[in-house]
Amino acid sequence: MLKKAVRPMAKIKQFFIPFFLFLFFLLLDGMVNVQFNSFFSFRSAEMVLRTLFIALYLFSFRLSHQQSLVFALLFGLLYDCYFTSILGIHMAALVIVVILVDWIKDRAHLNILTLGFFSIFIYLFYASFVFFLNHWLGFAQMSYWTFLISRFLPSLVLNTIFYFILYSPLQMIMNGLDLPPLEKLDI
Amino acid sequence: MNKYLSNKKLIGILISVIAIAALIALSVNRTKNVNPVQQGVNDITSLASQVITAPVNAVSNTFEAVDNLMHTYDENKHLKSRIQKTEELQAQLDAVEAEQKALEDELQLSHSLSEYEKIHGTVISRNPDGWIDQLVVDRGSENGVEIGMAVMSQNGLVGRVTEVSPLSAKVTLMTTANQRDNLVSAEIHVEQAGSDQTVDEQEEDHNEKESTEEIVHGVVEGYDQNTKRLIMEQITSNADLHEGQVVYTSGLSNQTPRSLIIGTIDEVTSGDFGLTQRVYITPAADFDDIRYVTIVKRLAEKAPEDMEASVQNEDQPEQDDQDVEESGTANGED
Repeated sequence: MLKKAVRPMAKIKQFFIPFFLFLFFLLLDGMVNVQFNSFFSFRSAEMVLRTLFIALYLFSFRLSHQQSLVFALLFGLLYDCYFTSILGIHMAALVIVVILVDWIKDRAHLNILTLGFFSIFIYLFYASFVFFLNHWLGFAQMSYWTFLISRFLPSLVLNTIFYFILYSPLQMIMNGLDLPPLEKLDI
Repeated sequence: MNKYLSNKKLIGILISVIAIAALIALSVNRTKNVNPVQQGVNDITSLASQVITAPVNAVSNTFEAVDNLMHTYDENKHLKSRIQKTEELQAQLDAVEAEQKALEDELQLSHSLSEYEKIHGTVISRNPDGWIDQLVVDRGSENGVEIGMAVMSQNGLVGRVTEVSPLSAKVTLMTTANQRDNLVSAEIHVEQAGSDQTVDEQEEDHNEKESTEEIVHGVVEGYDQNTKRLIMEQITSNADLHEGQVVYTSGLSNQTPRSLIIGTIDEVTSGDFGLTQRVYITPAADFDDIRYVTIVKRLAEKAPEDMEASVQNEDQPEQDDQDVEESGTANGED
């Protein structure tokens, strides 16, 4: 009886805590770019911090597929609306990320390293998708090869560091939210 | 195949792709300001962003203050050397301003293209992507910000306001590729008989030497990401342009005032077909470090093209509302 009464509260927590967390990471990505842009860009190379991507990627393994999709749609739309006003680019990209995570989590043994390994491919897909859409719209005027060298690889290094920094705190938060542990997802 | 891509799923994917393509197309081809819903979302997000930005800015400013303190001796030495020159220039400026005011009164002019008001703002966010280089500032329509206003940072032009919400605004930087609505009309003042002036001297003498100078017009319409230089094209004059000359806004764009510094010439080459000159400009502002901006509101209301019509009506005596328009034209053709 008591367990049943607690469940709605847990559901609310499972929505609002990730919501504010994703909002924080979205704002953090923009704020860091203001404060440290000169540090992140060196000659033609440029690093792009994607803490929102990292958080959504890690949460998608433990949230339900529907919940993850809602967050991807919501924060993709918010990202587009707040940063560029060209709606749809990050919304589509983040939804695809969630779909890929859903596909992976039924097929692989999951731990910090395998998650990190898969995140490289999913990040490559995410960054390339955003690049090609911007290229199509005329905002990205470099070749895909130049993009990989000057943007993707430096960003991958930066985001890998942040992945390892954020992994444990985010897993602890997810444990606190009573989300199913990664081990239970193992096949 | 059937398991993952059933007809139902394929139709879903197709509809999603069409919906996203339509959404992107509608957003890109938007000609007006964003709708009130988007404005509301932007304002709420920018308020939340200010909560995070405020303490970070406070810490950052403290470090900057300490850094400034360490360079106080050198700065003091440099400033002392400039004080005498500044006093001389102030005296000259007072005289020129008095003369200008008298002439404006005589011609019943209101505002010239060089006059503007400033709205200071703090940058609260910057698009992490970098493909569309946009800033979000904490000043909006309630502070008098309008679409099209020029934006400066560290005394150099950085871009233009492209979207306004009540409490925040978006600034598209000149570093953005495909900047359809962010072209800047610019001018370079070239001495008729050649000049050995330094950059500082050129800036100081900018307003008073126009009578002996040829003004070369062009459009700043690109940015070289590798060399971090702006590119000025459409220069029809064959005037002798050389490294170190200062590039200013010409005031011929819709809402940009005249005489804002864009940067200094770094290299002059010929255009694609060898018919015009192409100028590479080292920007006066550092595009990688923009934390505070000055939004510039031109006091002369209309663009010169619109004003030409009003000049033709000069003979009509009852033109209280058109005084501003005529003043802009008179100065714009100086």
